[in-house]
Amino acid sequence: MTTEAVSSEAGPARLDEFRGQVLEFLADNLPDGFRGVGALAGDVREAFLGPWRDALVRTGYIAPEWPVEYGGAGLTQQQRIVLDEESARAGAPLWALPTDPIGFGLLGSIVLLWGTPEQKQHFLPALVSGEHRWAQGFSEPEAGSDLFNLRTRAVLDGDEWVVDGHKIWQTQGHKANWIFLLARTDPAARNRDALSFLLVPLDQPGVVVTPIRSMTGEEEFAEVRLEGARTSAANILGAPGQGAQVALSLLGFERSAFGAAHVHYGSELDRLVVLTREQGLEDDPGIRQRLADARIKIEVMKAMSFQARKRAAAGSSPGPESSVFKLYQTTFDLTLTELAMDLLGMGATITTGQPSATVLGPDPVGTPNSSAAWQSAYLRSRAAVIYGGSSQIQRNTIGEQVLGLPREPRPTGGRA
Amino acid sequence: MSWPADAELVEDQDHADFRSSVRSFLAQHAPTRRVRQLCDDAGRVERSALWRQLCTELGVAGLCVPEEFGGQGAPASYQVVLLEELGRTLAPVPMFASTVLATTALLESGDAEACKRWLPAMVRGERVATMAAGERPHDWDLRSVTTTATCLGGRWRVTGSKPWVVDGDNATLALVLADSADGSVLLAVDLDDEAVRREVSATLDPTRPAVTIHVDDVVADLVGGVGEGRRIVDATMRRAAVALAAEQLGVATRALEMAVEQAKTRVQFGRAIGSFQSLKHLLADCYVEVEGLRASVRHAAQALDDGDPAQATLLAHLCKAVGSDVALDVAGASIQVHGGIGFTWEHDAHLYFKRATVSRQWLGTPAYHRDKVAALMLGATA
Ligand SMILES: Cc1cc2nc3c(=O)[nH]c(=O)nc-3n(C[C@H](O)[C@H](O)[C@H](O)COP(=O)(O)OP(=O)(O)OC[C@H]3O[C@@H](n4cnc5c(N)ncnc54)[C@H](O)[C@@H]3O)c2cc1C
Repeated sequence: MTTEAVSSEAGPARLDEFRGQVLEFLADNLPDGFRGVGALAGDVREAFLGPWRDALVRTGYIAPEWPVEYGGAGLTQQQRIVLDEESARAGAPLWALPTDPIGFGLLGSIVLLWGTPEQKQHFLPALVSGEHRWAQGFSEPEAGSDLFNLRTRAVLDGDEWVVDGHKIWQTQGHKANWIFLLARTDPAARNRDALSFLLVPLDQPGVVVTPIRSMTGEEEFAEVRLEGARTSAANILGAPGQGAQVALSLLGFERSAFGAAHVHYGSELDRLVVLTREQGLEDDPGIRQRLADARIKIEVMKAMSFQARKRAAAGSSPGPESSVFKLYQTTFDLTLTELAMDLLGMGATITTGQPSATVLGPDPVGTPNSSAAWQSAYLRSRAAVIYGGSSQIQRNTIGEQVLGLPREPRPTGGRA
Repeated sequence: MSWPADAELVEDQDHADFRSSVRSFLAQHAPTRRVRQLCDDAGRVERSALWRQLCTELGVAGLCVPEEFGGQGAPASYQVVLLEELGRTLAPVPMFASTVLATTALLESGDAEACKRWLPAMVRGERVATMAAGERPHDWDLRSVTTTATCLGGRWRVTGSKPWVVDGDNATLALVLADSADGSVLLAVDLDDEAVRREVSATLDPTRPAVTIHVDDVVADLVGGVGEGRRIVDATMRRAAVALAAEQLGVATRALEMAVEQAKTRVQFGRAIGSFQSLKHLLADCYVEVEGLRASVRHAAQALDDGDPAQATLLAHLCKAVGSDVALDVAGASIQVHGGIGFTWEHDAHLYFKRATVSRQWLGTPAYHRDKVAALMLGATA
């Protein structure tokens, strides 16, 4: 059984027509016999991704909802979903560079929301072309969950900001040449009002980027030390002191970036059904219950994302309810990949076959049913419950901002 | 309190208007204090009056019934709203028995004559009907029905016993599943017939009465074709599963609201208990579960309205599995958050917990429905 298309809300024939266009685009630009990016071996994948990204740039599909003038495709929310779903079903990634998810998913959204016309004109096309490759510089060694308690400082020197600090856990930071970060710009102000949101080039004296190996064995994030790093005074999003606000709206995007998650998980579950048969476990009552539970939760996610889209279509931007989805999805990810390990049994203990194609998130179509692939999915699932705000932080957010429960007592006075 | 209204997923204006008229009717006529009284034996007559009023003032029994049979022909999504609201208040009305089960079965039978004969009075709330299909505690596939029917000279007669017939105490009509020599049949049995005996059992959930019905060679009318009984009941069950999940959503939503209210106001160790993370996180997890159920129930209602049977079957199993787990988890959590007061008879928390417990078993447990989903994925086991 596969996850089928949005039929109910799409309704109008115009959407079907758009779906036709997307399918045509996929057929024209994917190699013959394409079975999903997950099915491509490492070097073949690299060779595929370059031209594929060019095709996305040509059509604007790389930034589906942006206005055409900045390199987007000017799609409606509904069309964007169709594009997400059909691409996911075909196993064709919408982002091709390792830094694209940070660039488009986060920086792009936030520049559109907060950027001046000049900033939009400057930064958005450079992101599309791949000239700017972005890292997210929020976390610091002493400030993770307690995000706004950071130490990095920036002072204005003539027409430049001068930045000193130490950021850590930058996803694909070693592949980036720009970083957006929060820095303390007003030592006198209260904690949150002291922060500003700055855009800083990494490729300059005084910046040292060191890759960090994760528990999957790969170098997937980095730490960034800044000593007297400089950026133009104009490279600030929002006003000085508004950094926390900008960052919070970004976190809303980060947590609600789930467009076609149910399609990706659907394809992972399809692989698990095949694995169940291969292992002769299709009559095992416990396994049947767990597979069905997974199927049900994928449908629940699909239903939730439909509702979220209705909200968005009705004009509300992602609020605290994005925490609901993040928590649901990342908790599900743990149980799905645990099920894969149990299906593999002792096979889960050794690493065989082709690895998977992604660094974060569920595996794309075509990923082999190998223990190597499932092991990395399993290990990755331990990251998603930490990054983008840990599960505990999401629960605090839901409890306090959605249910209106009283806040925890916090120590009085922030760091100066 | 504000969160359900704020956080509730957007619904269109018509649904929202309908929801608010149902909610204010129930707040006025069936607050939980009254619900407790109605559940006493003495409350039986009053219960019928409440139901008739709901039917005449809000048209609840005819909501999804085609106009030709006296209804309003509204889509399933309205029924889902209604059941959610009824779940919130636990109002002891035969909505489920008469409208969700019996009415759906009549409509699914395609038997226009039977529909014309029974539905208009049911829609007006003048006649309460129910359905009596299963006979064994776990047999929702209806494999072991022992009630038998015979047809002699064009007249049907039926004999057998049906346990836990919902609202069987107030109903005057039951649609009874029986096996005949020519296949399964659904028969309309007049419960006031003297060859029918009703055995009232004590029930765990006082807000939802159920009785055992013994039928001894009673004359009955065929509904739908001979050999059609199981098909009709199956189709009815699918729709009923979504409706019950909607009610479970209402149960869970209200139980959570009460718990959140308590967590905001109850002070221990000098702080409101909701500021303690163990409770805050428990409630946040409940909220996530409730929102998942809410989205699923709406999605399923949409599938029913779209007339997509494969999708509707999957979503019906899904909703019943999720609804049962969520309602019981949240109702249990609500007792916990209330502490000692939550374990008392006077507090309403147990009413929600009991409703959740009973509706979890009813129409099949989560494990049963998950196995149905597994069968769609893997095929049935031997
Ligand atoms: C794979 C990966 C990619 C990442 N990518 C980026 C990136 O690109 N850019 C970036 O800036 N950061 C990134 N991060 C960092 C991530 O955002 C932080 O790791 C995360 O916010 C947690 O902070 P921490 O590591 O300091 O843990 P801590 O804040 O020390 O938390 C440790 C534990 O304490 C719990 N805890 C903390 N505070 C509370 C509280 N108030 N109540 C209850 N429990 C609490 C947490 O839930 C957690 O379980 C990434 C992390 C990972 C794992």
